[in-house]
Amino acid sequence: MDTVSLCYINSTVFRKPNPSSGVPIYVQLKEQIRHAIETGALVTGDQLPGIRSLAETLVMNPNTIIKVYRELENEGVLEIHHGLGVFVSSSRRKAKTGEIRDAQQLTQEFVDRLREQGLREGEIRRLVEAALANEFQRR
Amino acid sequence: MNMLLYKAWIETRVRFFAGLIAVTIVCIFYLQQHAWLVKMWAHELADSKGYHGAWMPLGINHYSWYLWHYLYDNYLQQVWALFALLFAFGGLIRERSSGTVLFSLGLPVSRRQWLFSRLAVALLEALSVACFAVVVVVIGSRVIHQDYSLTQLILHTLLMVGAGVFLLAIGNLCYSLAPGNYTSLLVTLIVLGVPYLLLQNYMQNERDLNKTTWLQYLDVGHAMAGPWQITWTSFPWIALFVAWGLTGLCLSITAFYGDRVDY
Amino acid sequence: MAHVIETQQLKKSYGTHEAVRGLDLSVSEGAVCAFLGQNGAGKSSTIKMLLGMVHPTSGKGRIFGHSISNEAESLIIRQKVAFVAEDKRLYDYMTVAELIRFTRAFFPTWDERFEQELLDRFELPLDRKVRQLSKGMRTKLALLLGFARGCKLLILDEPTEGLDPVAIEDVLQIVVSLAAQGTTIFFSSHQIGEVEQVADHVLMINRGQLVLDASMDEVKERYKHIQAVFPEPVEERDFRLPGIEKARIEGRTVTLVASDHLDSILEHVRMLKAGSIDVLPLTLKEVFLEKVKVRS
Repeated sequence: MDTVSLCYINSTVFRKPNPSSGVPIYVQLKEQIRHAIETGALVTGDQLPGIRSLAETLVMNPNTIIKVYRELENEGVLEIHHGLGVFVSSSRRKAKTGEIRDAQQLTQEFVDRLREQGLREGEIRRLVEAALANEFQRR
Repeated sequence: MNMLLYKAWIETRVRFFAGLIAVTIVCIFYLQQHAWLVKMWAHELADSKGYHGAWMPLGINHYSWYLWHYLYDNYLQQVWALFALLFAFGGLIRERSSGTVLFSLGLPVSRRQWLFSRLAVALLEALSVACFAVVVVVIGSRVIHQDYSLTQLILHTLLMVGAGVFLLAIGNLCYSLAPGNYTSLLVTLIVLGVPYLLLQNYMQNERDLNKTTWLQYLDVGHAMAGPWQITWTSFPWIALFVAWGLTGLCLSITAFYGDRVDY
Repeated sequence: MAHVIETQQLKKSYGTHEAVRGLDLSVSEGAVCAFLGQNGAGKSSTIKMLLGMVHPTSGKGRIFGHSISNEAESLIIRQKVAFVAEDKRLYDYMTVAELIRFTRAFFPTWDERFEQELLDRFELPLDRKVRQLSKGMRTKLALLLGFARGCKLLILDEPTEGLDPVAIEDVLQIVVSLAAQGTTIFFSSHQIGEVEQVADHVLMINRGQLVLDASMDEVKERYKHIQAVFPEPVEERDFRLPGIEKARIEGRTVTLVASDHLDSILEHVRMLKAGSIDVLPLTLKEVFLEKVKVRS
């Protein structure tokens, strides 16, 4: 894959993680990569940007990127070929592109409905975060 | 190391050029006054009610005494001493108030290297100023048609600078110990300059009256001037070695103190 | 992982004032380690001790295995470490080019290509005297003189202070780029946002003592804000548990800051029959304020 398309991946697929949200940056980046694969923005065999170039583009710690790549490799999402780069794994089960698209739809409707009931953005965000925190703490 | 010398040089070059101008003015002034002063002394001596100094015949008959008296025993020496002290002013402690000391100390250079590179530049500048004065005297003497001994001039220059390194060293020590940038300069000039000038003057009078006191051992000015007829055999080696010993002591204290300062 | 910086019980007193009180630090090779603390917490004193500018009252420290309190070894340390001080004033009688030439002479590892790149990026005028530079320009020049040394360890004391947001982003980008090439970076900052952005390890000191030493991810995962509402009023002593940093009680509502053992704390809160329990993440800024305020 040439540099032009690498830049393309850098600038459009990944956003700068928000450092002041309470969610660790590596979790945010991991979710972004997963999301990109699930939505089909990255497909099997696609090369991910190198550590240095991604660190520079997102202005984030390179060690965090290494950690993310390693964890995703362990989870079978990515493959690291030493000396060549990082690729979207081929052994991965089929992307749940459809499911995610449905879920996106569902979430949008849910948010619209809360807004119709007069809730503001901050209130919605807090409710969702609290619900998520409760949900995942209990496990 | 070259860069340290370079830095010390740019920091002091304005003072250096001012020093050159100052010694030129002093030398030219006394060369220009020579004919008039000699005439005045001769007039005084001829007048039975006039002032009869024991040194007047020397001044009239010996141009090299004249040069020694006005330049190396008095005014050139004093101006040179002032500039030697100014050249020695500066260093890490002074960089504190200009806010650059942490940058300097962040470089792989020891505090002693900083100290000695500065002093080396100050010494070279002081030596150059003294040599420049010789050039001015050589040219000026030709203009006023006077004979002189070049060897004597050079020996006086060497003695002045040789014993004068003590001033550089003690001056630098004073700057290191005194607080504040310009306060330390002022304090040093007063603490060193006033006793030096007073003692020089007092001892000159005592010598004219053929008296000696223990104070002569503190007379830096006389150590730098030496006898007026200076040769390798009459060279005041002891005074010179004492000056060097004290210089070593001052430098050790400065270095020892400098190593222990927290920036 | 090897430790690039290590200190043991490092202390510094100025007269009766204890600026640093027994600091045990360690910074691993390749880390981007942030050093946080209020003004006067002892950050600058610590950094100056590491570089031989201030002599420790007691304790030991090593950088790349060289003792910080030995003058000869300190010289080797300064050869291997690029330091940019908080005070970014430079020799104002030199031009930008002269100062670069001056600094370059001391570092055999100086990276001229990087120097050129930084000159372009920071738009520094080579022939201008340092005295004529704006404060921001001077900061950029000071950073350039540090970055281009080609050292394996960078120690930066408030590197972005006084820079505009664009320049700050530039500096952070350079920092992560150097880190990606294996340079260890130890920096102090008051800008917690930028620390969160680029650091992977956090050291926090308060009144000369270490109050936090953790990886950034650990901080985010361990520190939580718990809000619980109880049917009956509760008392402060009900919340003296390991891992609870702070408990604030207003009638039936309790706000907790947890630094560890989240599960057992939540278990405990449920046992007290809380009606609603909310667990929210804590930002580094909030953690910092908690750490500093608790002891103030």
